[in-house]
Amino acid sequence: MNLPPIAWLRRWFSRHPFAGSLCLVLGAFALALPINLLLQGSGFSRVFLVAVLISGATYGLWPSLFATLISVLIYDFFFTTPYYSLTMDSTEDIINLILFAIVALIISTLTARVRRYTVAADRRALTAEQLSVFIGELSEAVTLQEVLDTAAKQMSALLHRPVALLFPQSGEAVVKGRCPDGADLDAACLLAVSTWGASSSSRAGRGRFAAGRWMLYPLRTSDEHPGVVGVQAVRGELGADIEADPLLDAMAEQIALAIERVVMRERLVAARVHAEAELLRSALLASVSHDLRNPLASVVGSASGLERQWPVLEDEAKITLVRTIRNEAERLDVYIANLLDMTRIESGVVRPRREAIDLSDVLGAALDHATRVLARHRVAIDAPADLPLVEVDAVLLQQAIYNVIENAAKYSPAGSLIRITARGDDHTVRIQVVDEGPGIPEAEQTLVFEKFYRARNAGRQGGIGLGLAICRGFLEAMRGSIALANRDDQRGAAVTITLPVAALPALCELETS
Amino acid sequence: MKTQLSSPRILVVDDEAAIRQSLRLGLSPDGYVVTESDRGMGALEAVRRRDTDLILLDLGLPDLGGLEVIRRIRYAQSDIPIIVLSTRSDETGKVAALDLGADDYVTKPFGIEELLARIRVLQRHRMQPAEDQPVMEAGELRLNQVHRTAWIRGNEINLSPREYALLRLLVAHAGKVLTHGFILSQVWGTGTDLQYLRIYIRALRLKLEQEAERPRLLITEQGVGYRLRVPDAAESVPVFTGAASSAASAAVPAKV
Repeated sequence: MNLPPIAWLRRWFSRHPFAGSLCLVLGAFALALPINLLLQGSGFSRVFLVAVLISGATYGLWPSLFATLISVLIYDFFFTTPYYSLTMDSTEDIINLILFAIVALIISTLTARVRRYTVAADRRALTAEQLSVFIGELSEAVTLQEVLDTAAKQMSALLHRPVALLFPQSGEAVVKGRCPDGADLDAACLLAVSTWGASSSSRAGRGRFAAGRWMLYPLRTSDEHPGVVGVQAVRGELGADIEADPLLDAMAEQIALAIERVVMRERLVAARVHAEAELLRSALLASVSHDLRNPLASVVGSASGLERQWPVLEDEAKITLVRTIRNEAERLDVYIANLLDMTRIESGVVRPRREAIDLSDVLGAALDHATRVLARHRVAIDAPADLPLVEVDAVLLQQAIYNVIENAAKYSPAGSLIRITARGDDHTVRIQVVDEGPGIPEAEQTLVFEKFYRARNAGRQGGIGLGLAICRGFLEAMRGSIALANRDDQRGAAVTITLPVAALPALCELETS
Repeated sequence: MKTQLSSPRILVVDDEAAIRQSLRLGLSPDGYVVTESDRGMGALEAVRRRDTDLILLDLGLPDLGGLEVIRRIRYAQSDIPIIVLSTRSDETGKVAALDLGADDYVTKPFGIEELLARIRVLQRHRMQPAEDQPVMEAGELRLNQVHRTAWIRGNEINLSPREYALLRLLVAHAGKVLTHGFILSQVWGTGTDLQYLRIYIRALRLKLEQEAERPRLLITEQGVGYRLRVPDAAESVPVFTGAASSAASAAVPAKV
């Protein structure tokens, strides 16, 4: 072996305690002979007592009793008259020997007991340390698979043995964690786990069991089909029953707890997602019933008024009613379009056709579209002619810009200025739309991009709180972004849209024709 | 053609009875004779019997799809104007219909004035095919085909040959939407990148528009193509019983 001789000896003796005890007694004998000659028959017995003491402290009760026996025999054989015989003729010698034996026995039992306590304390300390390391690692795992992987890896590292986590699943054993990866799971073990699920209720109380070359510890979770953690046995460990090991039991318990924790957590997240979906659904219902029904009520009211009062209505009244019908119907159209856009974003069917686009084209089209919305505002556009092309879906971008412009017009006073600025660098183009409205409190600046959220100071302005949410949805689908802040030069909101610049093939021969 | 001057007939093909009715009521006062059909086959028959001058066609029909109706009408060598009644956010459907030979589209829901404007543009193009005339006009724009020169609001503008070709195409179809594919094939030839068109449109805007960032003439129909906007030529409708819109007639320059 590559161990140094002393360590090797120590290990050899620790595995063969009786040989160790024998050596100790023989060593004492070797010391006792000259002491006996020097001191003339007194004191040598203490040397043997030291051997018994060391033996008891090092190897425990039985080796120390063995040492006592050997010591008594040697005492009798070499140091009592007649020498070199087990018979004794001196009464004093007999008394001495009996006293020696009693003292040796007492020392044996006492030191052995002390040793047992120390060993147990040491082992407890080690177990506690290993367990705390193990728990620490487990607690960092977030997903079920992480728990299983960490458990297998850490247990294997702590125990210096192959470890596997197995789960019975429809009559088969599924290995969900294993360390080392190639750990050999024999057929007997797999079979035991596969049937373990079927009869789990009957086995649940029994705890650990052995199968093949594996010791299996059940993971007591609330799951209907709990798994087991398997530790490969070393030779001689597998008997009819596995020796109780508090460390392994505790580890199995900790794995079970960790599994419970992540499963609960996943359920909690799912429940939260579900709750959010519920919230959205109720917001949608509220919006449909309120924001869609109100214009409908106006339409139905005006139409029925026209129908019923036709003969008596003044022309002017008729025109007013007809205009109401038209305006409210157009408002409905916008609402429905927004709801449809939002639904498209939510269900992931927005598939942008990203092309290299001249931003001014889209901007111009959005402004043209918004002519009516902007009728009562002044608009200033500042977009350099050499802006790089952006890689976007022009239809989606036009809608997004339109929504931002419409928003600015809606929330800023008539006659005020809406300024649209575009700036670009090598990677992005930023469009900023600033208005002279009240701005938006900082706390709400990200909330306005949420579905159905309407700013507190939005007042009675019509809208269902989807415009900016749609902007964000469209822009994110195109790898762009949108943000809102207040102007720093004066009152007003500033919406910034950021778009990716198109990687463009050179259009060199433009005017060759 | 001239025989139709008395009473232009419009066939409305839509499976929604309410829409057919509102169109009939909305179009009749402007001097159109409106007939209805709720089936695509109805359109094909009307074309065969030659008893309609223009078709308003919904794309989602129960028997033949609207696209198929367009395809069959054009296959039968009829050049009857077709305006598609499309739904919002269906750019692909619009482009497909236009590429199959539809002349224009309106997006549901639409106001009757928007539809009337589209109809008038198509009627005018039928009555005076612009391309053969030495001088073409569209609103504030005038092209001299002999000298290949162009004027905007009375000022001559300098155009490269390609720019002229593009502008000539737009003026020839003034008021109508032209798909990207159509413009590219007419001006560049097929297989050209859309990018070229976008750059030329921008160049034209810089020369034509008073405010290039807010184009009023050369309009982008996002996802579909471009349209040269012209003042609504209400007075060019041959039989017009009501009072002509004064704004529209004022905006149209006197004929040469």
